[in-house]
Amino acid sequence: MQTYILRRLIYAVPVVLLTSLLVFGLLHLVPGDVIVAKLADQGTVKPSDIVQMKHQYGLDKSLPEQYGIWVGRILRGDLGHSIYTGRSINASLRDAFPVTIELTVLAMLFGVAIGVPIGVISAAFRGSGIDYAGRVFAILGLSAPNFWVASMAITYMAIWFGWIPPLTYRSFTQDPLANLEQLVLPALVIGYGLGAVIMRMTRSTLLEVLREDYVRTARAKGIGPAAVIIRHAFKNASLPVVTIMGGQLAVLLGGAIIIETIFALPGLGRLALEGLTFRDYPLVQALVMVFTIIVIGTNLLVDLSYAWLDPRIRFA
Amino acid sequence: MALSSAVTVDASGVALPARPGGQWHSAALRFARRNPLGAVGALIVLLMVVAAIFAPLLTPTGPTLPAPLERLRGPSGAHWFGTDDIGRDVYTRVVYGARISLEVGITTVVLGTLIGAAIGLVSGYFSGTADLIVQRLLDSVQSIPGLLLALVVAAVIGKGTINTIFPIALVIMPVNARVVRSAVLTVRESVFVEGARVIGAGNGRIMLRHVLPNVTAPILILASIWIGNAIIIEASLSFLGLGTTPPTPSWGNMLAGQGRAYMEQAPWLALFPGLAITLTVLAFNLLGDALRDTWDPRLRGR
Repeated sequence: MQTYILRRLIYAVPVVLLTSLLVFGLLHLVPGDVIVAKLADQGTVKPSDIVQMKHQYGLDKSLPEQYGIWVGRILRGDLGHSIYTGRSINASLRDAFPVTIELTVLAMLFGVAIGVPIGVISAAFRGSGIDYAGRVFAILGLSAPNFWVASMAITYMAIWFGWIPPLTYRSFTQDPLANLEQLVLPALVIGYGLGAVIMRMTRSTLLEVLREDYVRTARAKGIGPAAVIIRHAFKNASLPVVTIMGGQLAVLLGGAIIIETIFALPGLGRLALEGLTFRDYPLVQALVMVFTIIVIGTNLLVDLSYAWLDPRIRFA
Repeated sequence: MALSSAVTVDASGVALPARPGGQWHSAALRFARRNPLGAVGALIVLLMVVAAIFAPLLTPTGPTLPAPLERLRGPSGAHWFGTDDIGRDVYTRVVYGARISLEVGITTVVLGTLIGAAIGLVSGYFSGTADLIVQRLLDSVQSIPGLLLALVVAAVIGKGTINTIFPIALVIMPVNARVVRSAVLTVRESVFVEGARVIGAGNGRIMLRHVLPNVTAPILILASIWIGNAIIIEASLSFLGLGTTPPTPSWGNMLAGQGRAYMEQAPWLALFPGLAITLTVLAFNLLGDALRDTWDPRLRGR
């Protein structure tokens, strides 16, 4: 197991490095519009200002040099400063991180709570009306874009209940109730899409497992249908579901960009969109790296848990 | 008990791939009989394509024509889907919006599929160091959340419908490269490839004439499934202001912008563009599922 963990960790290093190169290269392909945008805000733009500002942010150095400085800083835990606001990116991340984590965790909980039971019931009653209803519910969840579901939710919450998403964010420690009120709807919107994926995976793996000999044996022994599914089949069907949850994290984080913007939640996603809007490349660069490291880290954890649950993988 | 009967039904229902040639309509009928949902999907796709092509004939006015006197009218005989905050006919805009969604959806998938398949084919066929490097590169592209990657690339190259094509194709490409590569790894070891090599066929010939035809099924299945995703990404980019720019209507940008302020008093502004996206993506998903069942029975039901 230890060699397996080590091997997987070593595998992750070049991927993170390559991603950093990719992101850096991508954002430096175009010349520094950031500076121009910022100076344009201040009114007068003198060529000397531009030169001075480029120097201030180290943009007058060669690209490999800039890349080296950036990576060196990250390794020391310093993500740099936003060019647009001048704020330390570390500080911005400290504020935004908990919001996105809470949103994502809540969304995952909703996704599992929606997807697993419907998937199990759908598989148990395959071909019945319940199965069709479950599948339609799931395929709608895959097809409806989350920003539309969110727009509809907000529109009809306002029309029917007079509820509008609060503009100022309350953290869980400040005011737990207000915080949950703010996060439940966006988390439900993301959770529906995730639940659809989980439902389809649960259903199909369960159907496969139900074909196995040991399930027939369990039935032949006279164990009730519910117990066969829950105790015998679902246990083995849950592995692929765990994997797909890991893979879905990237989708969730992508969805957070839109959902946080719609619901005025000051999380990582909204920060990323702000960075993109103002062409604040240091901020965007830092956020893409943070998202990537979260995704790679989760995939690693999923692989490890998988190897832990299924010894065949460890020794392959 | 429903469970035991379900198992036998599944084992017997293996569909055969549609035969090429003059029997296409009977093949289509067989497909529809075996996959009623897939047929519904195909029908909706067809309808959307017709709407996109003949948009000017199907709509009463132009999609960007404001009518200040008819602002925020609800759905009626004159305005089927109501009017927006500057009096434009929402039905007209939704029909024209189909053009952008389908154009971008199809172009990006074709582009992403071709590039991805080419990379997967070459990388899987030759394997070795180059393959290893390509695989790590794909790993790193894929470890960036798809929408974020598309957003960053779109922000770098600028707004506009045409400019959304490359970012979305970039998101699709690695998935394809992966699947094609793994399919190639299996096909490469087969006897007929060995046979071709024995009679002196070069690498290029073996790849294009012997390996490629045997990996087309996964390529086509993936493409059909990704069109829906591509349409959602395009709509998301336009929604966030980095795709199709107003006044040109796209389903994504119709849900964004100043229209949002009026959705509470005019819910039809939120309803119809979103329904159009959902219906179209649903249709491609149903079609994709059906194609997968037909061409790859092992994946049935996934």
